[in-house]
Amino acid sequence: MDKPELLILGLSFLDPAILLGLPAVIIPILIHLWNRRRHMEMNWAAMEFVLAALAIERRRILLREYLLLLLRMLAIALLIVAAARPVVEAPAVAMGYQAATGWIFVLDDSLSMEQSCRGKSCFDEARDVIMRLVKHAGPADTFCLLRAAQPPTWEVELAISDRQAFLQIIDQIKCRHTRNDWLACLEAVLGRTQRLREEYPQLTRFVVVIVTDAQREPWNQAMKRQGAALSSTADELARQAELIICHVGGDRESNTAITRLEASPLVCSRNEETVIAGQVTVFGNTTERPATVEWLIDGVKIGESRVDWKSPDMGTFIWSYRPSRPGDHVIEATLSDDQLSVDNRRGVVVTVHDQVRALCIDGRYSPIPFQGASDYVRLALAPESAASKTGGMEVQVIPEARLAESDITRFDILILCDVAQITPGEAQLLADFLRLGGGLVIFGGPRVQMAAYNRAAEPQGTARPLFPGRLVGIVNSPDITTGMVNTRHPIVRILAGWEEGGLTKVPVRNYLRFQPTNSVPSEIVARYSNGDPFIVAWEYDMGRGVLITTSADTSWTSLPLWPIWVPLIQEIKAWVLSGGLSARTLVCGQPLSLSMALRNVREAPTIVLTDAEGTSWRERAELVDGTWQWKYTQTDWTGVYKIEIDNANNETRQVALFSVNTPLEEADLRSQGWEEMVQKGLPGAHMVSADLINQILESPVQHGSGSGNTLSRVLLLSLLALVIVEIVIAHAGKS
Amino acid sequence: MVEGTVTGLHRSPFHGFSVEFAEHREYSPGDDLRYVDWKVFGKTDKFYVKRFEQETNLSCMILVDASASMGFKSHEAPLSKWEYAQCTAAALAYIVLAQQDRAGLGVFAEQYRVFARPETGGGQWQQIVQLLEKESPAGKTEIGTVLHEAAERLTRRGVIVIVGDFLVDLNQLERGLKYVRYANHEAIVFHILDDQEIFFDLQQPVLLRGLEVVSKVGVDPRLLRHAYRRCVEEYLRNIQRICHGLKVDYVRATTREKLDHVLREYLAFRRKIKSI
Repeated sequence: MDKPELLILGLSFLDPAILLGLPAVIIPILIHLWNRRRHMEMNWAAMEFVLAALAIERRRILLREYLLLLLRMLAIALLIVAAARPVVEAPAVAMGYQAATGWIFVLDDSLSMEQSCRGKSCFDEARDVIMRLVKHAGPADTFCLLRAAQPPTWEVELAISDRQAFLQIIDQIKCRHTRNDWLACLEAVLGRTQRLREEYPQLTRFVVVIVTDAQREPWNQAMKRQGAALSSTADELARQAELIICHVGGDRESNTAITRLEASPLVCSRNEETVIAGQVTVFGNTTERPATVEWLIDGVKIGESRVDWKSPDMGTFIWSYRPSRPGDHVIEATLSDDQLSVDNRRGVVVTVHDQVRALCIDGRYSPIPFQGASDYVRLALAPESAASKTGGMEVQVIPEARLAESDITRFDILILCDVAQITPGEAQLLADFLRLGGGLVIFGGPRVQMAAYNRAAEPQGTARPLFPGRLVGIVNSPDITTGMVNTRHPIVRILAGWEEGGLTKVPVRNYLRFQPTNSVPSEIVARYSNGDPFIVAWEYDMGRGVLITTSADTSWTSLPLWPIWVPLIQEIKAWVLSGGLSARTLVCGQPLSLSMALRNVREAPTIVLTDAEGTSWRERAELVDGTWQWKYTQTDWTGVYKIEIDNANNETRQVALFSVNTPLEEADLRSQGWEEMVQKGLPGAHMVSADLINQILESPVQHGSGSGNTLSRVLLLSLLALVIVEIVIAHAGKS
Repeated sequence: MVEGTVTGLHRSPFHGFSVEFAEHREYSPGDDLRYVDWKVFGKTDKFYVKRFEQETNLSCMILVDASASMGFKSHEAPLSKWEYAQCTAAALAYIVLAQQDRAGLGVFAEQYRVFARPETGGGQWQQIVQLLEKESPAGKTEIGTVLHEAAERLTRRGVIVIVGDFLVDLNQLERGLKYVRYANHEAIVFHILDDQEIFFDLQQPVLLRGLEVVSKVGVDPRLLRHAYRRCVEEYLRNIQRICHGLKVDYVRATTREKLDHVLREYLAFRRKIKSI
């Protein structure tokens, strides 16, 4: 049944057509006038007495006549209104016309709301629910709107009463691809509610309506991580306002998503193979398993690969690619569409250089092959040729003394092999190199002067120390071998399942004992058999560093002669090169950031950003600690973001691509058990479904049957009372 | 009807002011001191007044109101006020003439339309009746002027009977009666009304057209009845008060009352008063 649109003083009418009979209230007047014309006429002798009596009774007679007319007209009006079956639409208005409610709508616009349900997305259904509630609100009510996905954003923060404007705003909102942060959301709502009470004293009631798809996982995580804060915020909110949680969408049991996509290396040279591996996860109970994934390079379909289902809910796939063009490339894996198609795509950015440049600083530089400290490293970096400038890898070797004068910004990797000491100036150079995304690899050796390295490990003023720890001694023991390997680290992941071979039990005669400090977080990738750190990895701003506490040649260990040497060096290279590039593949909500070391540029470079929707902005970079930096935080939608830089020379060149992917927390659409979870965190909240709200709003007979019948009954009783009063007045005074 | 009334009378209750001494009666306050018998006082130290036999030349002038209001007749009444007044006047004239006294007739509204001086004789009654039959109610009442003129034109002291509805200005009426009494005439008021005029028993809203007052008023008699009756009662009290104050006999009759009962009652009352 269509909802009647006639709304008068907070009442609507089930049969509004009957109100067209309201002009019938003039019938008593017409009858009165007609009766006067029909009076019997007669002659009368004693007119003086009639006139005298009239003079006495005129006022009373007139009053009686007007009162009776009014009563009769009112009776007709009451009868017509009662017959039209009025229904109280806005209880607040019915109780007091000036009473007003402050509505705060919280619209869940996280990724999972994009899932389709009954022909439209949960997000569209949520907007419809809010719009219906707004249309049925009281005339003096005000409205605010908060978008719940991270970060919670006020779309309408100042309470407005213009419902048309509010509806237009809702109509234009798009769903974001970020995840939920329910604690931040509730805190924002609580703060707003408290301010509304102060700023709008005419509001007598506050209602918070959270419209969500009831995804269990975000609530689960919020309860686990922030349970105490969530409960206290919810308690306070329940005291300030009525809390309603409206569940949209039907029962969804399954979703398939690409939950991992990694490329190694992220920086490679032309025609160098990069391997892309990924994972497909199935959430919920479904027998459907995608057999293949499609690959796209820069939006162009390249091929397919098969998904290997190792378990019912997780499959893996792998693909290799040899890029032929330099520059940034977005490699995407996609599945066919399902209930939530946005997470069926995932991308990773790979940067292809004409050549990857490595600079080896050799502490025992020697023209004689394999007499220096870096030869084995050089070969391992470019095993195709001993020459330093062939293939995709350019390896240059310089003696230690030339480090300070070299332009290290030309290189992608610096490798220190048995370098005796690092001067403060050189330490600053290396720190800058790391900060801008470069890779640093340090090997120990007999020439290393620990004190010089330890100075670099100490904080210099406000600058962070270069190294994550101190060298505390040289260990010399014939029984030491390489030992435990942390196969979770990307450098040694290839050794997973190869525990008895590979990097373990490699004899090491000497090594530098390393002691990590808290000043720079680091991770022990591998240890010696006695537990001392063997390989240490750390991240330094955009760059990455690796310390191998033994030598790069055979002076302290036979590791360079082992088969694992080349793969190890290649993995170390891939990992340290990916420091700056790992920030190119993000999750929605993470900021895009760029650091540029532009020489001789005094004017701020202009950044031209083209987002995933194709919209472009221009912004200027800022100079921070000698480097131009820029950050963009509104990564609310998945896709490829392109950044171009205009430097002072007015050259426009593409600098970076960013691939923004969906957050993994939004892929599990299951809602089973969410009500109990929410009620633990939000006691006192009322749980309703969107279907129930729609039924209530569309069927006021049921909703208003109580109030409608009661109202009609009241009107009819009033009519009866009026009729009795009319009869009494009509017959009173007649002798 | 009249003869039947008169038959029961042995002596006319209409007493004139002749010199034939009839009897003494004890003095009562208000009696004319000219008729006190001082001889009796001298003998008895008590006051007595003389009563005289009526002379056959009693003069009775019957004035009948023929204004428009006298034409009113309600649905339930057998006669209109005018018709009732005609009968009353004719009956009174008959009574007077049957006693060998003189009777005259005046028919008036704003002024006299008929003024037949009191005469005696057999043809006088027919003349009175004929004059009454010729007239019909019309015009307004100027009671004060009419009574004043009657008092002046009747040089011989007598009885003036005024028959009408007296829907007039009571001040005028009082002035007129005072003049009549000042001229030593005896006055008798026969007040004739319709029951409806007294009780206003109409049951439906009605548009009333005034017979003498130029007015049309739509009323619901059920709403006005109470106030109307109060006004009528006050009016009747005032007339009675005026008549009583001027020693004028006041007889009220409605058109539904039988005339012979009214006359009989009045004549018996008058005889009783005159015999005291």
